[in-house]
Amino acid sequence: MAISFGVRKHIARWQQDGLIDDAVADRLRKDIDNRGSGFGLGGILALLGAVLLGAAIISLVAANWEAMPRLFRVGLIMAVLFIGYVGGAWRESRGDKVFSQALYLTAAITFGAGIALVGQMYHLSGEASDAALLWVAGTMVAALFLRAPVLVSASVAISGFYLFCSLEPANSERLSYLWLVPILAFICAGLVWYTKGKAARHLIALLSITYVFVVRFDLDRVGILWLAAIAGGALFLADALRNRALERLTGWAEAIGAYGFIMLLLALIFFQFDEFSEGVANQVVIGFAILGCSIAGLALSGHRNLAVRWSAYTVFSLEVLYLAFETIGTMIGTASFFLSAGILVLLLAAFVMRMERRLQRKSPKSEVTA
Amino acid sequence: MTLKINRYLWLGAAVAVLQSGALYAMVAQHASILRNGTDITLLSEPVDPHDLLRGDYVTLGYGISSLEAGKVSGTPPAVDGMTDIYVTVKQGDDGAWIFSAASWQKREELQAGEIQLRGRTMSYTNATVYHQLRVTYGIERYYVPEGQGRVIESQQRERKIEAVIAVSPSGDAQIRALKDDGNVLYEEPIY
Repeated sequence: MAISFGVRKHIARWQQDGLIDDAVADRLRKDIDNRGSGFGLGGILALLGAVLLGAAIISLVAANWEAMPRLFRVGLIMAVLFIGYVGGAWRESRGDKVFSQALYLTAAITFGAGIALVGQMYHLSGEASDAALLWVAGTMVAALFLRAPVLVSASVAISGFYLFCSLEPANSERLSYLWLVPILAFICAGLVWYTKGKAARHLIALLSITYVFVVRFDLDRVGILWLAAIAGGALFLADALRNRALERLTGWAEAIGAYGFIMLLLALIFFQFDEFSEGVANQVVIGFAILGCSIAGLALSGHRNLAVRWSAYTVFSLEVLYLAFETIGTMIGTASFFLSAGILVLLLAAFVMRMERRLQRKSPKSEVTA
Repeated sequence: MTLKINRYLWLGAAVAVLQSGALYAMVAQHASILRNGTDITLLSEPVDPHDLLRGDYVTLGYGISSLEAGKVSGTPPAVDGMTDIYVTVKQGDDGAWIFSAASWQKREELQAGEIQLRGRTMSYTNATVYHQLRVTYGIERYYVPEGQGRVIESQQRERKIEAVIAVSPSGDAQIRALKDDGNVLYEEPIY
């Protein structure tokens, strides 16, 4: 949305400066309107309102603890569920894409709150992770029945909540998250395909990356990082070399390639931190691998994949600085530290600018970048 | 057009019924144990004080919350992991119920005056007979109104609180009441 605001500003300026005439400006604006999902600021505010409403319901029921009989409280929660799902379905049947989603979201949050409140009111001992699983299952069923993109996003978010809850209790049953989270992510991916929900795809990518690092820290094994690096590299290469096929298969090739690329780089960066105590030599080797991957990213898909391009620039710059100060930084004083830092950053700036010019030239005009 | 509207509304209602049903099932299970269960009284024991009060619930520990692996009869599970364990209690001289036997499998013939509880525990195939199994029965948590948890906490440390537990024929347990020296502190309505 922010992009369309920016472009609108540019169009207005071009129109004012006489670079384009009014007819072209109108056509450009219309094009932006058509490409947007129709889910602008209004939609975001509606969803925000839904979340706040859900929170209000939870605190209202929780706060009037003694005042209401228990069954009445349960009935109240059920009433909100009906209002949310049936009301949302009613709005959807009228073609309302904003308030239907907002009502669904309120209901989904209420379901989670209902599980927590019933557990509390009836003194049901149990793990929070089990409650989170029930919540995820209910929300997934709702997403399937109602074909609602927002409920898919909610399912992914609740899966993340489940992952977080699984870290809490100190028994080894909690480790079932190791296989459950990938399954949940897979089901969510299926729901994304079914509901055409676009936002949830990013959440799934973030959930997967979070999962990798949670496993890394929780089990203290590096195997998962190797797996993630290989999978990330494969996804990146799939976008870089077989872009058309991946695009036809998923319709989301650029983002998949970028997330794969980021996963690969993050895994390598973690390898580097693991070697922190082992001395500089190993770190330098991994450092060069990171630099190599960044260059490969720029060379293979930097000319058309903006996300890959900017993550490559960022990682490349940080890595150069890190290596420089890890190897020579300890030997020089403060003044020369700033001097060398300044020179390095200027060199990096020159590198990025040259690279940008090259990549802009290479970028095929027929293809739309980003 | 009307057909389309109906389909949407029916689907919305179906989701609401399913999720309400899940919530109601939680309530109903609790109620059925209280309604049909047999009452026993267990003495609470102090648990790890750090864990005692979390938010607004009291954590209750019992004599049967910790068992020596050697006292459990029957065939232990072949793999490590969470498993059911069946613990039998009988009434002691002072009226409180105490440990009588434990088994990995459900015991079908109980002696008169014995009640069997179904608990969950972590089993290890390589555990020694002295290994202490931590068993949970779903009665370890009691939510109290805000601010009242500390009172129970200190009482539980000074003298034992009596917990009246309803046990269903299948061995599932729920707290019916908490008592202190015969005085009722909290009593659960069925619904």
